[in-house]
Amino acid sequence: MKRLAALGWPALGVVTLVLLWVGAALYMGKPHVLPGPWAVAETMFSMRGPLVVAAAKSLSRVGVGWLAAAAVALPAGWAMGAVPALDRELRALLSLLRPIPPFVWLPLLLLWVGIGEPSSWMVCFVAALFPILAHARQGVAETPVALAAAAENLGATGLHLWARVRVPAALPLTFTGLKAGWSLAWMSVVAAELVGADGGLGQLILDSRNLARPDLAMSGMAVLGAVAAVTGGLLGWAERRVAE
Amino acid sequence: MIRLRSVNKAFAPAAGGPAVDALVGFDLEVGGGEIVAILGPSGSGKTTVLKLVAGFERADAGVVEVNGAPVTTISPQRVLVQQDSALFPWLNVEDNIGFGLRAQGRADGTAVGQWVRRLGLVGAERRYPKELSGGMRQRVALARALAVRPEVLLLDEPFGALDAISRDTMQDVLEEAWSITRPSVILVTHSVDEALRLADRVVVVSERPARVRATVEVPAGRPRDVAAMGELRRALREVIRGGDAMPGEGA
Ligand SMILES: Nc1ncnc2c1ncn2[C@@H]1O[C@H](COP(=O)(O)OP(=O)(O)OP(=O)(O)O)[C@@H](O)[C@H]1O
Ligand SMILES: [Mg+2]
Repeated sequence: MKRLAALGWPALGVVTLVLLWVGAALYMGKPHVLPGPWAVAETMFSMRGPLVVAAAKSLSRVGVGWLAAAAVALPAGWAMGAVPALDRELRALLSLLRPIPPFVWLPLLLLWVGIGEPSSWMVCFVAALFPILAHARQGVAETPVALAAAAENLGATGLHLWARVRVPAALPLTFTGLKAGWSLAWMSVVAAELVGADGGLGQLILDSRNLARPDLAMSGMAVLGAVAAVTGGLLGWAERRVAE
Repeated sequence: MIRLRSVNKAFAPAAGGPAVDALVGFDLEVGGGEIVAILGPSGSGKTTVLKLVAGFERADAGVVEVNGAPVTTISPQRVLVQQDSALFPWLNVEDNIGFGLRAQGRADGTAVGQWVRRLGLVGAERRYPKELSGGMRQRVALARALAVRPEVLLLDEPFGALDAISRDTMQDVLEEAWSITRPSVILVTHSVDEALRLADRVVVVSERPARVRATVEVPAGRPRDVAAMGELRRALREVIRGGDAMPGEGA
C-alpha cells in the first residue's frame, strides 16, 4: 500500500501534466507551435538516431567535466576541511568565485580555448567544481569531534584516521556535492551547446527552433530530463552502495 | 596506577568572558586494577577529570600521572568511553569493536569474536549502530575499548541513558568484562547504587569547581548485592545530602 502510494503520487503528477498538455494542444489547435504528446512521441521515435547521438555527446561532456572536477575538488575540499589554515586562505577566494553562475565563464572560455570540446568540458568542470569542493570541505570539517577523539584514543593516526574516520564521516555530504555538481554540469552543458558547441542536446534543441520543429525541441528536452534523472539516480545508487 | 595531585583546570568560554574553573586543587588516586566511582552534581567537572587522564585535555597546574609518567598524549593505554558511546556509524558492530586493533596494525578476528561473545553481542555482529538499542550500543562501546586492552578504562556515565533494568544488566556485564583484563577504572556516575555495586571506592565531589568532599571505601566482595548494603548506602547518601546544604564544603 505504501509502495503503491509512493509510485502513485508521482504518477498522478505526470498524468495531470500530460492531460493539461493534451488539453492545451487541442484547444490551441496549432501543432506547429504546441504539438501534442503523441506528435512528440512520434518524433522521438523517428528521430531516435540523432537524439541518441546528441544525448551521448552531451553526456560525454558532462562526464569528462564532472570527473575532472571531482578529481580536483574532492582532495582539495577534504584538505580544506582538515587544515584550518588552508581553509582560511582559500575561503575568501572561493566565496568570491562561487556565486558566479558557471555559464558566465562561457564567453571567456570561448575566447581562451575556442568553440569545441575543451570549452564544453571546462564549463562542466567549473559548474561541478564548487558544489563538490564546498560539500567535501564541510563534510570533513564537521566530523563530529567525539568520533575523531574516539578514533585517536583507540590508536588511529595519520592515514588510518583519514581513510577510516574522516573520509567516511564526510561521505554523506560529499555525495550531496557530487550530485549537485552533476546537475549543475548538465545545465551548463546545455548552455554551452546553445551558445555554439557542436552537437549535443542543447544544439539539437536550438536547431529545432531554427527549423520550426517544436516537436523536436520537446523531444530533446524530454531526453535531456530523462538522461539527467537516470544518471543522477545512478549516483544515488552508488551512494547507497558505498554507505553500506 | 593513576595519580592526580593539586590539579587545576579552567576553560575559556567560547563566547568570551572570564574563564570557568572546572577543577581546583583536585586530588585522586586509583590503584592498579581498582575501580573508583566519582559521584557529583551536574557540571561539576567529572568529565574533565576523565579527559585529563585520557590526555584529551592538559591540566593548567598540578600532576596527572599514570604509572609514574606524566600524561602528555592521547593513548590507547587509557581509553575513554564517552557519555554518548561515540560509535562509528559507518562501521558495523564487529568493525567498531575491531577498530582499535586494526588502527594499530594488529587486526585480530579471533579477539573481536571473543569480545563479541563476552559482551553478549552474538548475532548482532553485522548490525550498524543505528540499528542497536542504547544498551547494545554501550556493550559495543565497552567491547571496543576493552579490545585494545588498556591499562586504564575511563567510563563517563556509561549507563546514564538506560532504563533501570538494562542498567542493572549492564552493571553485571561491565563487571564481568572488567574481570578479564582488570584495568584500573574511573567510573563517573550519578547513581549511588551503581557506585556501590561496582566501585572499590566512591569519591564524592563538590559543585563546580570539583573538589573531593568525601571518599568512601566499599569493603565488599564481588559480585555484590546492593540491597544488602543498606548501611553504607545510607552513609553515602548522608555525605551527598550534606553537600547540598553546604555547597563547596570540604570533606
Ligand atoms: N571544552 C570546554 N570549553 C568550555 N567549558 C567547558 C569545556 N568543557 C567543560 N567545560 C565547563 O567546565 C565545567 C565542568 O564540565 P564537565 O563536563 O567536566 O562537568 P561534568 O561534571 O561532567 O557534568 P555532567 O554531569 O553534566 O556531565 C562545566 O561548567 C562546563 O561547562
Ligand atoms: Mg560529564
